[in-house]
Amino acid sequence: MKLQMSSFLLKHKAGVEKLVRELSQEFEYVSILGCDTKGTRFQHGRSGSSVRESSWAERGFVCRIIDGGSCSEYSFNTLDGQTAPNIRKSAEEARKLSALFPAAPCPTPVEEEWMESRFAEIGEIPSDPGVVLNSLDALMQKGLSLAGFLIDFRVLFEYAHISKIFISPEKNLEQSYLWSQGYLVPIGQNEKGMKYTYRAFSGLKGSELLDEMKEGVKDAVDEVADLLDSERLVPGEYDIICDPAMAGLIAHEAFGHGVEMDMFVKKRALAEEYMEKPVASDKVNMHDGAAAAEQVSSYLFDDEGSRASDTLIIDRGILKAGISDQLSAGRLGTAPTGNGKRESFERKAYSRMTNTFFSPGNDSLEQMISSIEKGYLLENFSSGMEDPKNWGIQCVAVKGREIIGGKLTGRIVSPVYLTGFVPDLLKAISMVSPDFQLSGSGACGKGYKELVKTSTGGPYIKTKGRLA
Amino acid sequence: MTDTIIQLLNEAGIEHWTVLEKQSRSDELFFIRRNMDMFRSKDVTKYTITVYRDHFEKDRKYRGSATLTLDRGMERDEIREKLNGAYGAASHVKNPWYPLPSPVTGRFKGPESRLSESDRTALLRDMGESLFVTDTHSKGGINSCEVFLNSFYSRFISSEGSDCTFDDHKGDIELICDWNEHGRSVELYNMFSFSDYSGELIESECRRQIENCRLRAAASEAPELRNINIILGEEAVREIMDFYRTHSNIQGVYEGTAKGKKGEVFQGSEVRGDLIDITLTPSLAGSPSSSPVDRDGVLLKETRIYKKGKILNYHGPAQYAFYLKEEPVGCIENTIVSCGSRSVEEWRREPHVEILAFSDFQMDSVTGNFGGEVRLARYFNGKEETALTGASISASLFDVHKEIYLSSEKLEKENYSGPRHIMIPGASLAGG
Repeated sequence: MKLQMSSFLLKHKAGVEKLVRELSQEFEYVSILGCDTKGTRFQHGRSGSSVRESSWAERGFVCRIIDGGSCSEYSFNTLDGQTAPNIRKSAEEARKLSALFPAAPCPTPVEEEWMESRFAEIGEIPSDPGVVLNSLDALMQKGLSLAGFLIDFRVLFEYAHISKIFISPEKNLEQSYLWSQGYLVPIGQNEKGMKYTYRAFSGLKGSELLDEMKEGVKDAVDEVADLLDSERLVPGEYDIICDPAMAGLIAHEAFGHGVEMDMFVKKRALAEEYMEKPVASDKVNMHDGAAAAEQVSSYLFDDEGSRASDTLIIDRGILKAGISDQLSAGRLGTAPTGNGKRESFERKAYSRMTNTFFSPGNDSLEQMISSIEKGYLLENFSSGMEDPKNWGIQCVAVKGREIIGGKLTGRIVSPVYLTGFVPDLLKAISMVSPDFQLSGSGACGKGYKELVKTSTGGPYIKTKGRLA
Repeated sequence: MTDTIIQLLNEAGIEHWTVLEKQSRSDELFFIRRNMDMFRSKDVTKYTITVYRDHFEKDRKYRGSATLTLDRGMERDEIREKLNGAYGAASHVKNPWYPLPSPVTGRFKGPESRLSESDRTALLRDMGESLFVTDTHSKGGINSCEVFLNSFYSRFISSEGSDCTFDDHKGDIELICDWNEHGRSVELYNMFSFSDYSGELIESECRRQIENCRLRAAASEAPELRNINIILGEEAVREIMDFYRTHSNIQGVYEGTAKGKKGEVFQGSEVRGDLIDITLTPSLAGSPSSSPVDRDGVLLKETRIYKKGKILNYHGPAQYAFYLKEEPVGCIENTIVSCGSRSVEEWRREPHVEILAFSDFQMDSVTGNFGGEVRLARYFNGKEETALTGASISASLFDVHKEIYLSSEKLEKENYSGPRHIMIPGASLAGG
């Protein structure tokens, strides 16, 4: 089915256009982003269920004013006679504050005329709570039936139907798309303690994702069995293979955050000094872009009205380009790449990742395993943290499978902390598989806030890493 | 709009409900070095409504619920449609029946706060000045900073007769400091919150972070260290104390994921270190998490949950307290932990590693696993002290909490008041 644009945004669009026209008489640059995201989060477990509005739901507007070299924004969720005075008041406040704290010069964006609407197609909007909760119950029952050690098998399904308009003197844009995500979270315990894992599912999909989730139930339960018998790893440097989830996390933390170009403006990114220089082995190609893949962060335009693109960040080991929001691009004299994203209309836009991944290669997983004398196959991730200034990296894998003499021994270690210096890790990539998986569950923060939807992934990669 | 929502709830025949109206105003200032990157302001009102629906199945009584959000200015037809949709969804939620909390009425006024001042320009000016007081070095300082001043007005109303209002304020500062020396350029990240303006707090956070950046620039790659006392500070201590909250949470107890048992010492029978002593309080000076009622409308009061390691009370949602036949304590966000008897200065005289900054300290409260990459630590080998970077630690709190020590030095930050440091004897550090 083809998705409909938000009736709320359509109703207010003429008013927004009028407001932009009026304010454009007074200020050098004016734009308004309108957002209306609807969605529901369904959760089910042994002890009960819940149905809540999705935490990604939002409805409101943000107006950006650039005037006299300074920038201000006003976020609001009522469009009435007070809106224009409030926007003017906010711009005036910015002017007063710039007398106390001189503004970092903000060039007026030069925009080309662009009018476009895009409405995505999905299978079906999962709007019937009875159908969704019954599906989740069936998944839970199937999971619980597979192992006696499970104390719970939690399931979660969430969808968000996103509608946005962007109006500026040169642009008039509309888009509507929908993503869904699902989690299977088995929790088990034995005499050694309690362990849990997750299997995540996501995509620009509706109810059809519920069917995909069925495929992950056994796999998730098996992983808890592995974890319950797992041991702690002896810290050290090892040959490692990262599965697509871990590889994606490395791409995301290493050279995803590392090339967000608002960091270049603040001189917080070492990557700025490494453009056109080798930062990884020649087996490594890495992309980011809302137009680079079909996943939860694929769209027509970003939250500043810039067109989505596909940025080749690393080309055969050479760092080629960063990703940027509109203001950073203006300050750096580059073109925006469609990566200006907000947590919601209530928050500032930053340079953010969209769909970030390593490209596939030609080495099979079997070849990788057989090439390792002593090491680990790292699977699934639980968290990661960036360090764009110093290129430190921390990625936590749910588990590692021991490899000795080119074979998996069956011994499992958990959890596994992968740390180190980003170029060391990427330059040591010696094999890349032809597999390719992207996952867009969860959320990506900038520091510890500003959560946005991104997807990450890629193939299996073989490298060397410091594990603890 | 609240009256309209209540009217439509009644028209829809929805007997049990709660409405939380929340008005949020904010002023936000973004800096690159000392220059203003952007000014932002916000004026947003939202309504969070939970509708409850009782139903029977095979003679069992269930209470389903669904939660929705409405925005200011939403039209009656859309509100009606969303309420009916949620009420329909609630009929599919089969949770064992439980009562809604007793009514709470009144106007709760929090402590005076400068964050309530209407002249935000003056307040932002003062905060900006406090930020840059210690930024006086030629080799480093504040790289960038974001200041958020939020004021909230909340009104909680329920079908059971609750009608209470409260104001609260929250300031957040994200602070990035850097340092250039010894041929290296390094940075550290910090984010902290408060409920009132304190120039002293802002200056001390800036001073400490700039000093840590200076140390990080001089730090050397960490060697592998075994059987060494590890001192954790501030953020890690607060994360670890959340582990004890998690295992006394009544929802977790009901679901089987919290391992605490009332009347038993959670750390085990042969504890050689300090026993945990925790009290939860709805009101804590400086905390932006203070609230007289929780999201379900439970009137909160100070509650001791651990005394000398023994669990005295569970805390958490009233629904699960009813299931387990416990008094409803509610969800209280502020934690007071009793300090230990020994000073961190005593531990610093012995060989040790004191971790000053992690890249991202991870505490998995269910499994007890904790760890992270060390961005900055001080290592004392018994003779001399060096700054280290790049190491990592990884352990399980279930394995080590029979012998952990709490410092006598106190930390009062955000929603936490308690020991500033924890010492874990005989631990390991993976080298860089």
